[in-house]
Amino acid sequence: MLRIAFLRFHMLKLCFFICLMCWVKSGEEKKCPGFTGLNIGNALTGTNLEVQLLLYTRENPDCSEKLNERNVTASEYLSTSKKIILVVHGFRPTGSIPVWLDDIKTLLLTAEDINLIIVDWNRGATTLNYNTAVENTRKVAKILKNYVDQMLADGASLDFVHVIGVSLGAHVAGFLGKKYNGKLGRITGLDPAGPLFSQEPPEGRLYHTDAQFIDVIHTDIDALGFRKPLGTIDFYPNGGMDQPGCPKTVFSGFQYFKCDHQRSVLLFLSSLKSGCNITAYPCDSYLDYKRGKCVDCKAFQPMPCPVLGYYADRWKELLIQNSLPTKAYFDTSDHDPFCTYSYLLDIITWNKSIRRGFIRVKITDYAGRTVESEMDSEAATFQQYRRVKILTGFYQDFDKISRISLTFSTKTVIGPKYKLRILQMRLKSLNNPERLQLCRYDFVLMENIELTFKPIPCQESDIERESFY
Amino acid sequence: MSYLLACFRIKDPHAGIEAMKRQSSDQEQEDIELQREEVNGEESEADHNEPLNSRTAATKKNRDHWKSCSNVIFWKCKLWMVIATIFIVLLLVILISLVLYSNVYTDEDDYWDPDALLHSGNYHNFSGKFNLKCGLPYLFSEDITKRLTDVYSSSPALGRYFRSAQVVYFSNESTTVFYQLEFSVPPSTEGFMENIMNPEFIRNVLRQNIYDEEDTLPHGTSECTKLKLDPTSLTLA
Repeated sequence: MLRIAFLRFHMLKLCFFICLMCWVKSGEEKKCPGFTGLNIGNALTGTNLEVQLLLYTRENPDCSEKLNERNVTASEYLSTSKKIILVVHGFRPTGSIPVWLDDIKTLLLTAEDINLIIVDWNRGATTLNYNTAVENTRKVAKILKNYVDQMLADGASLDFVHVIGVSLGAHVAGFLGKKYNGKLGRITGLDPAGPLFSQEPPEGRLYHTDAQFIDVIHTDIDALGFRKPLGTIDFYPNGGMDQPGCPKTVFSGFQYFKCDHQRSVLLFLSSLKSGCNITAYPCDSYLDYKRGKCVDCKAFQPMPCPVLGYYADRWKELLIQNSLPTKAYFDTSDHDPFCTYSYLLDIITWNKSIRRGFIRVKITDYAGRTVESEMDSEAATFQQYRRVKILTGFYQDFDKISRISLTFSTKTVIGPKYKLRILQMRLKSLNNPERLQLCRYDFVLMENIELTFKPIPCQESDIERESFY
Repeated sequence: MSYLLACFRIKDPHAGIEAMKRQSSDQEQEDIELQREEVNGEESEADHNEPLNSRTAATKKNRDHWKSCSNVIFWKCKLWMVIATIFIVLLLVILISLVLYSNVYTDEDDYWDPDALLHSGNYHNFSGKFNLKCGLPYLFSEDITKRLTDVYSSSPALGRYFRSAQVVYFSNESTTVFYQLEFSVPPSTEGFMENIMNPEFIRNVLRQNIYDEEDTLPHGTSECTKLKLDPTSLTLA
């Protein structure tokens, strides 16, 4: 009897506890408005445009505050004296919440004390009909202008407004910028959408006059992204097309379609972490970059080459001076933090006839660890006594290199095996240019046969001679 | 030729490959028919094969054309054998030419005319100096000359031009060696003097050899058991 009573008491306690939990939870939901979560069903039926702005600051990093459309200044946390960053997402064919949302919030608030506003237009972006979402972009910009106007009236400065737009969101940012005649502080376009925008005139898309400084990352120019430069500086990781680590065939499912496109966001996020800086090299084309023509960044001296992502605005003044948009290229690795360590390999050959081929480089440190460079996509042309520069990247970097292995290949199965007769090779670290440059002289590379050797320090005169070329 | 034409005169002009298949299945059927005549017990097996040949049955009209494939052209050779032989020969020719293309190849840089170089009459002398890391009491200038000769005569780029090396001045006390190198110079070729007969390059070949030699010695040995040069002291002009 006593036992039953005891059990009942327990049950009662449990009920009470559950009720309490429910109450707390519902209370929380009321207090913390979240990003609209939709599903594929909503996408099928289509959604009507609804925009809500969720404010996060260092005071409320976990619980957002929904800004009042009619009275933005009534906000509890908004501080118009601080920088205002608006994050605008893109087309959502499945209605899901963007996976990067939490990361971008945490990382931006950690990096700087700002007002972070997540622009949630999931109702409007969630539809299977891409055209509808595209039509909504101008409407979203119009709605955002109302909010921004109120913030400006409350003392905010356009100089400190930064809009980060992903895919379609980048064009939303562009439309918003146009409404302020380019006075907006900064726009960051993360792989701005290409479909239905590529043929648009400057008024119909993001354009480099839409803000004071516009940095754009293009990661999928051959599918969902935009090919041409759109901003003050346009970054093209790995040439802007196929990103390492992304599936190459449609058999990998949904990832095949979005992996390249989404990489732009992941690259931007990694720039907020303190892992490593991704250095970009302003250049006319990816091929020129790969041929080592743009590694010195002379135009930016005494500043180094620009870096990708959030801190790209440090180069703002220098970049604005260029009337033409700057295209910047670099290679990344296949996983976070996406850094590669670039080396410039230069080779002088003495073969009488021209040789074409690829050079694969392996470096080994004194502990015996080895990393291999990715094979180039374009063959290098070796002419007698001409200095050929090849840019190679490694996923790992070694402070001291004990051995270098080189393989020459023409990627042909039939035909004679050629030899590459080398007078001098030099390997120079671009990430740490102060490091000792490594040389090797007078050797012959047989096709497809790896040659391993111990590099010797280059002579100063070799390094000086380079400046004449 | 008329045999060939007969063989390929089929109603469907697109079915070139199909024709080949049919030809073989036709052959198969004939084999089976032969078997049938010989062994009655194997009839069931032949029946089993029947559906495969239903196609042939359907194109019975074409069969006459195909029959011409087994016409005897000369001796015991039937037409199909001749066609097959032509194909095999063609394939072999292609294969052999591919193999030859890959293997019979002379690299023009592997060959040079030593006489022409010797008799060109052009020489180029270089002189330089280096310090010895350890001066051995029994070290003679011959050892150093041998070392220099070995380095330059085995060099892929310089070996063919190298003539001689000699120690001009050798002092055991100051451990400084003055040496001279002599190279033949071929009749003027563009870029040769600037790149190959470049004192910088010639010096680097020796410098590299000194570094490599250091690497073969166990670390931390200060004993003078071998000829040791100081790579940083090396000069050449």
